[in-house]
Amino acid sequence: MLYNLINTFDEKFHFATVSAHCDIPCKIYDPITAQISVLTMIRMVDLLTEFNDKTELSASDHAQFSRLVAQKETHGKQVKEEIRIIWGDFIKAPQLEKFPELHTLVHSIMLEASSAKQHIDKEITLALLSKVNRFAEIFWQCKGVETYSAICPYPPEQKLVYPVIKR
Amino acid sequence: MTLFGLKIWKVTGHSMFPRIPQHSYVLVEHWYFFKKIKPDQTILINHPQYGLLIKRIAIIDKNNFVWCKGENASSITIEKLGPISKKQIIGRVLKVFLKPSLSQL
Repeated sequence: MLYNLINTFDEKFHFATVSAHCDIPCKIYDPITAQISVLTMIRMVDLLTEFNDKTELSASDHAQFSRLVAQKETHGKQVKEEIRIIWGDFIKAPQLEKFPELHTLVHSIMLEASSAKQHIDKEITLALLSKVNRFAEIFWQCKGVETYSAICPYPPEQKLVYPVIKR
Repeated sequence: MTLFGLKIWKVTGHSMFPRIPQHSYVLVEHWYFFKKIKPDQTILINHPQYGLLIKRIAIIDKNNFVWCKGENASSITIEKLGPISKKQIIGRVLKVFLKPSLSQL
């Protein structure tokens, strides 16, 4: 009865709302976003390194340089975010038992991604890719999906771990 | 509309289900940051990322930050919510008004 009374008042005066916000476990996880983000970082490093050959930079070069650095930074953050989500939401005790290296691997991805953001160094971004690929391999093994490695068919043409998806 | 530091809010979302289902109303007492709070109290917070939320206090850490949680498996995790300062607390829930059909559960 009290509820109905409040409800009537609400219809008339519209009470403020407060959210009991949920994080829906949608079960849609895929490390490919993180992998592609690392590829983007590698590509940005390649393009940034080309500036070393120039003796003088025009205003346009400066603008391009800033854009490339910004993209490298953004994708570095995305790598960390995507890996953290899979690690935090998908990885649970059974996966950790099967792959005890997971915590250390994720932590090293965090450090490597930060380092890749701080420097324009291809070696670091390649090391990051190798770790993210290993993470992808573990992820697909946890889901019982086979994987294979192939060179991605676009720049920076690096080795990527892909799932074998069959109908 | 606030009266004597009390205000009625409508709840949306399922994070506090089954205790506070969606579309329930809650009577909230305005909260001042110097007042004492303790774990398990249900509070309204102004979260920097998620906005106005209703959550339960999980712990208050040694730095006096408050960590909150929902009461449902699909709630945002404590880690994702992160710590909040006491100044972000809007009020404490005094009473929950459930839909009649739900109050009989």
